[in-house]
Amino acid sequence: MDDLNFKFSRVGADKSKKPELKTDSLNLKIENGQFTEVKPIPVTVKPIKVELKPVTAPVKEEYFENLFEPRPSEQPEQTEEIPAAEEFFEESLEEQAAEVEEIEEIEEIEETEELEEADSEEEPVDADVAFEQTDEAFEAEREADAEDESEGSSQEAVSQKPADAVNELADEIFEGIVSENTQQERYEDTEEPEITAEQDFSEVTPLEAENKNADHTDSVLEELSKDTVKGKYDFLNLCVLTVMILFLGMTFIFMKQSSVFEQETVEFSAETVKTGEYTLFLTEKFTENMPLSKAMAQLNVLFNKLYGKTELVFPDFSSSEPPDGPIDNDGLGGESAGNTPDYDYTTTTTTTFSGETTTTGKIPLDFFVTTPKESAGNEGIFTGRPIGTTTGEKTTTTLDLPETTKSTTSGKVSLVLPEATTTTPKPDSGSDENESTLTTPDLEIGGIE
Amino acid sequence: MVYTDLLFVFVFLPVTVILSLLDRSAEYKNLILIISSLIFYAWGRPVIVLLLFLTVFADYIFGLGAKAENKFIKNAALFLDAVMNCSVFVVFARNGLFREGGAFERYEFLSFADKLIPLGIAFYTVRGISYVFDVYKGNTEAEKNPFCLLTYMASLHFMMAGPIVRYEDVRGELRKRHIGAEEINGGLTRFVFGLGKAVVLAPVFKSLMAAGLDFESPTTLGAWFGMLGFLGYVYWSFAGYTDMALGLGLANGFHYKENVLPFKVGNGVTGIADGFNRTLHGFFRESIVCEKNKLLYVLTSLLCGGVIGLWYGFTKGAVGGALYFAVFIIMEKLFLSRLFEKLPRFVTGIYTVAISLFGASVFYFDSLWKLKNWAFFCIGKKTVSFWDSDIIEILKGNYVLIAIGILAALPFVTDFVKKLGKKISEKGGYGFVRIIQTVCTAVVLLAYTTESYMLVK
Repeated sequence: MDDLNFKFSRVGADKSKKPELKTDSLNLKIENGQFTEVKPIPVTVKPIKVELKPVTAPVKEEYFENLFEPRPSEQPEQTEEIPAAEEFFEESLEEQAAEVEEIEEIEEIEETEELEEADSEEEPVDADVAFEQTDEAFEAEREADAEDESEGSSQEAVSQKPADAVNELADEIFEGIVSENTQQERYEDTEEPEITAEQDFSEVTPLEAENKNADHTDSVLEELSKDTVKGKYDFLNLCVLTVMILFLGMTFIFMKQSSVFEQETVEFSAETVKTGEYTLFLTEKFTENMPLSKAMAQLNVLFNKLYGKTELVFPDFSSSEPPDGPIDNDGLGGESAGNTPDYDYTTTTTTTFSGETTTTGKIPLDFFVTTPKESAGNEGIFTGRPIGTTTGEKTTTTLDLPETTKSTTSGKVSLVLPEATTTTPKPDSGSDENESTLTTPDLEIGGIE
Repeated sequence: MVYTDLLFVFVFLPVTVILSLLDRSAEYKNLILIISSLIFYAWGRPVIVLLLFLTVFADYIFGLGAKAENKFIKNAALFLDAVMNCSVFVVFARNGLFREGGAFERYEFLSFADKLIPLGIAFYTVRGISYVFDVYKGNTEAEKNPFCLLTYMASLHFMMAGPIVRYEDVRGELRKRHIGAEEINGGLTRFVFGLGKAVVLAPVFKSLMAAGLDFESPTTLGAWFGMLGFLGYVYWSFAGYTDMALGLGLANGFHYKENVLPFKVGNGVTGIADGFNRTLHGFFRESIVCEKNKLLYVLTSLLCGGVIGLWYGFTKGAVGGALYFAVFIIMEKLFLSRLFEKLPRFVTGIYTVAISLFGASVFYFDSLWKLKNWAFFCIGKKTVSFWDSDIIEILKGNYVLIAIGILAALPFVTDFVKKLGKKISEKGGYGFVRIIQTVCTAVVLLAYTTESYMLVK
């Protein structure tokens, strides 16, 4: 059975071509439709071209379609030996015994010629014996053999056996043959894939081919296992990071305040979210940072009216009193932002025992302002920049003495020019006067107490 | 909101990543990215959204114009786009020029409050110019889908510190990309390591810089370590933000190019410039430098250096430092590199370190007087003492992090660590290496959280 290690390969997409059958280390040769034993050809020896002599009809394609699979309905599972084939070969040898000697001499000559031809071939040659048949080739060979036969040549004699006999012969040979080396697919009319060096078993013995295939399989399995292991550790890493981020995030959200917000923050908690205080705080922050906030407030009211929400009241910008309480949800309602150039101006002056003053004020913010160096003490309603340029210096001095007086100043101030300045000079010792001036032409500050 | 905010890391980022996974289509992912980016910018700076839409619309129009066959329209589109983006850059990124004491003080009406200055506007404008430039040069097709362009321009991934992602690199991924466990895992890991670099490592070098470069009580050791601290602070800040950008991109299915590489000391100053903020430097080099002949190369390289300096800052130090490095890069290109090939490698290393250190000092100091004094401090002149307690305390308290920061910036160390990991993996220790990596990631995340938490408190 070791002699019958056939190796099959697929042929190209051209349907006109018959599938070619390559054999590996075949000790048989088919001549004149008969199998004849030939000398074992070592692997290193160049291939012997075996010509299948033409028959009246081509060999059935179906034999080549199911080459790799035994016919389960007809044959039991074959293990190592194929008795039927061996018996056949014994019979063949017996029948061909008389002609072997003559054929051997001729074959030796043919072998040397074919080896020389094989050396000159560009494509790599192997030890397999190839069966190539085409209809035209069959007919051509048939005609040639017919001519030779008429001339009495035994070498080119065309087989007179009918196609059925050859097919039966092929049946018996190919039945139960199981290739341990190959995992080829069934013959299909598709393009032949490129065979890599690892998959190319054309120049190796079956044993070496088996080992090579095993190595290739091992390397593929190794790569797959690496990917699996990598995926496993990637998943583990992702789980660890996810759990940590979730845990730390929950801690951050529920335990402490965020670092985004600055002073006068509203603590993020379930209660503040529930009552709407946190949402209000975010809205206030958002609107404060918006430029042209008064214009935006007006637009907000107008758009709400367009959508039918008419209960919003346009903020009374002419009101002189500052708003009480937090800002409403309707934008800037309640804030004393004016639609006239006059803005409400409120300052709170605290005088300590020794006369130091702390002035805090609220002045509406405009968009186009210069950035002051120090804005402490003159922050706008929107905790932004005050109107104009402020170069005031904070004059508060921390003392252990309690605050004695507290005064609130309110008035009106108009849209100032960029060169407006605010100064808060240090009071003289013993002086009870606090002066806070806005050097703008239209400023009216009244009611300083 | 910035990348290093606790709110961003523990709330914003997980929510956006989870939302991105809800659908496979790239359009949905782009939509989520656009919305999250707009929220990111509008957080405390809502006017930025308007600026974003206007500039994206303008870039879209100019991009289509740059593809026109008419040369006049093509050139006009590129010119107008450059003018627009440069104007936005100057007005917003360099708003200090219009404030009191600035160079353009008389145009005070253009000055804005800090809160209104958009984040990363410098990188944003360069990205806009790079898109139209690539269309003009034929490196990429003009985008006809405005949402794809909006996704590219508005993406929050590379807003903080680059990289300058070229449109051709992401054009395919904008239309089709895959987000799986591998991408999210790789992206999050990279993001966490970037956090560690920016929040844990960089501040250590910043404190070293502040203590060492104190002109009130200068010391020799302080002068050297202070400048080293400045280099380390700048490098690790950029590296950290770049890692975060690349991590965010990977978690969203994008594969961006590296922007900061370990310092290749053996390649001279050119290696330093190539390894730091390389996408930005590469874009300017590609768009300005011309290598037709030596004279043209020299002139355009100097111009490129000046432009890069202006981009880093409208200060004498920034422009001077950039021109300083440009001069050495030109010299290396023309003749120094051939000389270095003959010299031992450590000589090149010493040259690189010395030139880079001095170049960093040019960047740092705004005046020649300060630069001159620093040079004196380095050689022990005009100093109060050799060292002082501040420097020693910082070194004692952070020597591990400082050592990690110095070693990790050297390529041979990172290569050695990678090779070691590979060898251990090949010998069956792949799991061990991965577990170590996971543990390190967890430690960095904890360190970042602790650091940020302390700052919040």
